[in-house]
Amino acid sequence: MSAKKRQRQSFIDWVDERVGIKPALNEMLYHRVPRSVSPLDFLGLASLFVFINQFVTGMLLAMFYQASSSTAYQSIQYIMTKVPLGWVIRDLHYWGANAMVVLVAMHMLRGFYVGAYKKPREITWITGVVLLFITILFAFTGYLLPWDQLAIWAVTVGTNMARATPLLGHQGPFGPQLGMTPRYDARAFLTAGTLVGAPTLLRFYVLHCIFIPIIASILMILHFWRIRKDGGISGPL
Amino acid sequence: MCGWETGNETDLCDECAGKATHSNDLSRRRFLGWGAVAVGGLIGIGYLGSALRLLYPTSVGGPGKLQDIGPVDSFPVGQYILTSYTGDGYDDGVYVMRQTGSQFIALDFHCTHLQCPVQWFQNLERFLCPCHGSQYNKYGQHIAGPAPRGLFHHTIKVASGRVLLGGQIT
Repeated sequence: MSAKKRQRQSFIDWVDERVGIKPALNEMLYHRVPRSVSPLDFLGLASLFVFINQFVTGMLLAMFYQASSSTAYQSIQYIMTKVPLGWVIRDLHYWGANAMVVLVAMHMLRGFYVGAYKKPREITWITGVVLLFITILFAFTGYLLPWDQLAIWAVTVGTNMARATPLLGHQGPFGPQLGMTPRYDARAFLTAGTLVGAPTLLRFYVLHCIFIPIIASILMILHFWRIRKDGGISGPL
Repeated sequence: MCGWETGNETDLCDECAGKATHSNDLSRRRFLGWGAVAVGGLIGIGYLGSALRLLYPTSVGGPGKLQDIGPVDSFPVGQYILTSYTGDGYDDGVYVMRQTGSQFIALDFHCTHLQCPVQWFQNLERFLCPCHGSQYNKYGQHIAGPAPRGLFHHTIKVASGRVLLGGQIT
């Protein structure tokens, strides 16, 4: 046993004595997996990796992006042409967003086909389904932020669907009876008005950068905790 | 029971302690473990390096490299002359006009709509864009067409009778 090894051991002991980190480390580093693993077992890990990529590049982009209708488009032009490596960071975020939707959808399909939603893994499945919708919400809110024609009209079309929400949309079943009007319904709540405009941009930006990441992080902690406790789908119950 | 489970060195099995049967051998587990750490570390360094480069302050928006474009007297008062600025590493068309004695104005010749080169018309005293009809007055201010703003200015200075042209400013 080398001296370096002894020192590392004692540091981990020091932390463990105070916060009890050893069971968690053991679970993470020495987790037993079956001998036969398939690339499909790693779709969740790949999604996590892309999420971390989105988190890091998103924080960096937020230092240059200006979420106001008069500056949003120009600030992205500035990132793409003037900021050193700005185009790399934005392209990582852009392609990461596309990859994440694909990976998370594949991850869900795989879980569905192998019956991973069955008892006792229901909590993993339910949080996973919510996380799938969260991923799509991430993509949808992020789509508006470049503030070009594509963004504005895509979000106009997307939010128009909310008009037909049952009970909460003014064109949906029982919406008018509950007092929904074009000005006060689910769509107006999303777009902060009757049109996709400057208030929508700010609302989507705050949803994209604050609300959704916090909800996603909490659900991911739940999701990972249950995977470790119940065993991954690749292992026997 | 080995590794973190017991925390006791003497309980470590050979594999967990990184010891293979022969003292100089690298166990498969240890090799893969360090391999994963190395790949992860490389990816991390890539991100960290890009982030530092991204956040490093730049001189964009400053005067840029100054470039001598000739003596003051070679510029007739009240007339735009198309010249080029190469200080950014590429040819960039710039309209330069002597307003009075040593007062100069320098305008980037790209329309702010879709970057088409604008044309100066002396008789109209306007810049016209051939692509979508944007118009600018003789100070580069936007007066008609789809452009969102006026032409971009360049830094311009006069020093000991020479006109010095700099990079693009807003």
